[in-house]
Amino acid sequence: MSRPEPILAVDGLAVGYGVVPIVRDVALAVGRGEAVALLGANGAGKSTLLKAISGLLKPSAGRIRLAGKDIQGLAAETLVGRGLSHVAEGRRIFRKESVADNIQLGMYRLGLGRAEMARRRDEAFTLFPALREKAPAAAGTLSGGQQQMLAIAQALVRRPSVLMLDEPSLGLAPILVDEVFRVLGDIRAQGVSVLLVEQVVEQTLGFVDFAYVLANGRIAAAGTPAELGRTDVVRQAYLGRAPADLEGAA
Amino acid sequence: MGMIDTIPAAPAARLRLPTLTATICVVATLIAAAFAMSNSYYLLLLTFAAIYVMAAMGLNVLSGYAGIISIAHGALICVGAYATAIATVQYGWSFWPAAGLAAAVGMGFSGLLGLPALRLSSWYFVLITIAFTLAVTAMLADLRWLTGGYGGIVGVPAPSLFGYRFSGVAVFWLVVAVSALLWWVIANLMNSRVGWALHAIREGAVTAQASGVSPARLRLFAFLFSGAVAGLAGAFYAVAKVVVTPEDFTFDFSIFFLFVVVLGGPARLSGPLLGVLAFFVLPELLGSLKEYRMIAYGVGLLAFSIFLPEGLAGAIASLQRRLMPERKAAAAVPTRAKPIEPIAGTPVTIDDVSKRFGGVKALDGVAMALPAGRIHAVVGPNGSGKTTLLNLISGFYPASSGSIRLGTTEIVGAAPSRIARLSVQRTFQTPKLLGDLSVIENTRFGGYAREAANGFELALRLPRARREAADLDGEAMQWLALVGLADRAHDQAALLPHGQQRLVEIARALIGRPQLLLLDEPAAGLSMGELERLATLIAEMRKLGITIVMVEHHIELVADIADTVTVLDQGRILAQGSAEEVFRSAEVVKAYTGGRS
Amino acid sequence: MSLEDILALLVSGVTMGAVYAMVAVSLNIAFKPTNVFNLAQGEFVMLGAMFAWGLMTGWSLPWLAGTALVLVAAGALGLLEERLAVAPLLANARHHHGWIISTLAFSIVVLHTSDRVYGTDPQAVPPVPGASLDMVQIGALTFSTQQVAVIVLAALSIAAVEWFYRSTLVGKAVLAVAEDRDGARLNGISPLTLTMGSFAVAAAYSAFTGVIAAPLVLASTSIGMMLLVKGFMALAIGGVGNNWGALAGGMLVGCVESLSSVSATPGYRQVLLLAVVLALLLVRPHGLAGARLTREV
Repeated sequence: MSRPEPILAVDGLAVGYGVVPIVRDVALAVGRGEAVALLGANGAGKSTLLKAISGLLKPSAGRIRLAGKDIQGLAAETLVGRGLSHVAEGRRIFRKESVADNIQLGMYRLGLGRAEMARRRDEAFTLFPALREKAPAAAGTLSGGQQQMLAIAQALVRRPSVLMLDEPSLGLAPILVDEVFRVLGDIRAQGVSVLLVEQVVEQTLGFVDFAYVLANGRIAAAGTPAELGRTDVVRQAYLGRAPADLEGAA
Repeated sequence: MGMIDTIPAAPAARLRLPTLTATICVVATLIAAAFAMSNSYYLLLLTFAAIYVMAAMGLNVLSGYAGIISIAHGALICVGAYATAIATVQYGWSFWPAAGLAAAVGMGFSGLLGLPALRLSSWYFVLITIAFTLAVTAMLADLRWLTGGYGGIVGVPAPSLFGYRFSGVAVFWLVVAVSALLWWVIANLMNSRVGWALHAIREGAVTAQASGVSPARLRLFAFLFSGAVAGLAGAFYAVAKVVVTPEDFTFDFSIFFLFVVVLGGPARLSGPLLGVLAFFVLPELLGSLKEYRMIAYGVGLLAFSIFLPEGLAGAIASLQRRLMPERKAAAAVPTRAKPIEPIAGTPVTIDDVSKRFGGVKALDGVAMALPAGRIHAVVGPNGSGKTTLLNLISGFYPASSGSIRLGTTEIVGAAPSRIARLSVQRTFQTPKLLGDLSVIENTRFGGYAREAANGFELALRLPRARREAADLDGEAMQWLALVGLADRAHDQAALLPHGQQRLVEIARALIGRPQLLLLDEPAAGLSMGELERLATLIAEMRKLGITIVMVEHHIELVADIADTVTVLDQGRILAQGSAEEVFRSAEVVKAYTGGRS
Repeated sequence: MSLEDILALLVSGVTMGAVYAMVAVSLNIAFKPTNVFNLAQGEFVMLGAMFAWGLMTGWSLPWLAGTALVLVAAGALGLLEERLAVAPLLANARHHHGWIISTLAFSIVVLHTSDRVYGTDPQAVPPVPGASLDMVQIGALTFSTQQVAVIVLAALSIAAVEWFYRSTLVGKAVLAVAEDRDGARLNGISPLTLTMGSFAVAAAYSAFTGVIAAPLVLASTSIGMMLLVKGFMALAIGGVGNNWGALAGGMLVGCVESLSSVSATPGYRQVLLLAVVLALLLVRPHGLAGARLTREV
């Protein structure tokens, strides 16, 4: 199965905090309109990798291209204007501001008129009806699921060409996880390319077109969900070894 | 237990060459003393320089070691000088009780100004000290009946001792002697738990609280100590000057001491001496550009705060590191040490505990009964509330509801430092060591709550303080040997690789003889070899009797060593039982890999 | 003491309180995106007053043109301070509270350079157009129109600052940066630009305070430190970040100071104010309004 032409391409990327590299020699691509997953255990370097792509961290080596243009070393706030949006881990919204203001702040870079901002905000409210009711409330008072929806809405109103999400289902009840994936489906249907870091492996593999498995800062495996499903590589990446072995060990 | 028998004892005091900093300090002091003997102008200049060194050493404790910037130091010296002048001239006291009064007055004012800073961010203190300095200057003119107004007080008598009257050269040597004594006291304090605790508070207080330090008490100590030293320096200032007038104590006088400490090298013993020599004595000797000096001070302060925050002393130390490669610490001499005594672990009962952050429930009705002396692992996906649970037990977060008991003692609502004093120790997800200090100092710091010697005994190295220090040094070496780092005891902690820093944290927790030990992801970032060492180590700790609660992602490690396992998912308990039972449960596998029922 | 005397003292207390409140607000403006208290803020007030004297009295520029120039010059210096004394320290987390030293150092340089340039004598600055320093009496109330102008301008400008943060996208973006710097960047908000802008605006606002206060207090290089302290007291009473609280706090400081001048000498007045602020910080560490700081350090 051939993959579409990449809109986001990462090559030979190394990044870390201080002198210790956390991610080394990573190459990955997200095709136009594709949904791609990045899987791996805690501490494998997934969040660090996303931060390097979105410009929060400066890579020490490697190349990142967005729609064919080099973007490594550009500031995060600049990349937002180029169509790359990163919904960070841990529901990173502005807790003291109102829900409506949070959504408006998502459009800060775009220099839109009042009317256009209101139109896009209404669109977001249509996608997330719960947020409409809470529009004047401080974002910090929302439930966990609503906060996650708000964080996604903040990115969506920018109409990004590539959307990166870092564990949007983190700490959410299963019914809310379903909701997150329903929204992600809508987003993909609009033609947005998605790079998804997730822990809920089965559901993620059921959603994406392609997946990478990161282990110890390197790509350990890559393939379509069907290809990965035939091996035990994913389970190993999360649990260290197969549960069948655990019974013997304990 | 083979390794315990061959534990190296604390190394004998190491003979070492004087450092570059020490050499420079001694040579510069000798040259200065020679100058002082040569004529009366230099004598007066250097007498003041010695008084300034004394005062700056006091400020270094507050603004250097404790990291609380003060601009009131000059004003406190002023208060001390006036107290001395008033007591001696107007009330006929002799110098020594007047100096005591000056120290007490300085200490009192400093403590008073510091009270709000015990709770608030330290920038409040900066502004309070500015306000105080302005108020003191204004009061000197207003309290004419006491201070003599603008004319000041004339004729402060020279001190005398056993009929000997100090004057001229003798005053110089007296001040030098008192400064040297103060140097020794500060060196003693800063190389003890007091200094380490100040250091930890400056770095953000978390480590300090986890070791049982009450940040407010330590800050108060820093205020009182620096205030007393300022008052004492004021007493000598009055004597050297004979006349005290308001115009001596301008705002710039206060700025000057901050300048000396910051440029000399904050939190370094030699900082004040180097600062005064380089930025007071030298410019005075050169004598030119007096009117531009404050501008130059300002520019220097700005440049140092950005490019050389460690000051002159720091620059010299790093020069030495570059010129002379690190001398390897002598390998500890292995001797037979006394065996480590068993520890009676405490049972922990967690009852219906919940924690909310805004609209998010991080923990929801968690209940666990953990018998003493066992290893309890808490596992679960990211964001399931594991670390929150540790933070609730160690008191860093207050629980929203529910009860946590150690034995029968309820600890919900207690401050982290109090919980630490109940023999609860912990480690952190990212090791929080005091990077500038050595490995053994970091380890010793974990015994903070065990030391009985008070600040006074520590300052003067009285017998109990010395004995305790020697005992704990020895014990620290034992624990370091247990974690396999005895040979790195004297290395700077920041230079250790991540995995070893984690082990130092464990040694730091163990020296506190914890009845309950909380480990936050001890295996994260360890190499295969280190992982095996950790597993053996945790088993050793269990043998000693310690109750261990460990949050861990490394399922193999958990399966190998844990007696019981609790699986958290979205803040609730998903499963509890032996490792075997828990990991066989289909629910748990699902929670990890995200399958749906 | 007669009613007239008390009212006169209150008018002057409220006027000075309005000035202190403006200093507090300028501290807030620079604090919001950085969590840095700019200890040089008082010196910008001083510079505003001295520049105004130089331009309006020395060069005889009309008030509006002179003020415009003052604001531009002070804004540029604020920007310079941010680049020199704040940005390098914010970029390096190891410096902790290094900004306390660096902004203080900047203020020392500004103060002593001004001493060299302007000398230390107090100078007169013309009042706001349309106002004068002549006393007007209405019933028991005596005041000058310059005093009224200061109070009105303080209230209006604080209202404008509040409107900016509450109702404009840029204002909200500043609050967003204050809350989560990286989170703001991921939404396309540049903390760097907003920080530079805030320092420039805060400096210009301080300078404006200096321009309108100078006719009342006289322009001299020594007023900066005193105004910084009084502005801080207003801030501590009103609560950090709370601009209306700063206005109330400033009024309180101004009135306590002014009313106590009847029986107390300047030294006692300063001690009294310091005691009030110390006591308040012990009882209500986060100001009378009680808004908690986001994080204690």
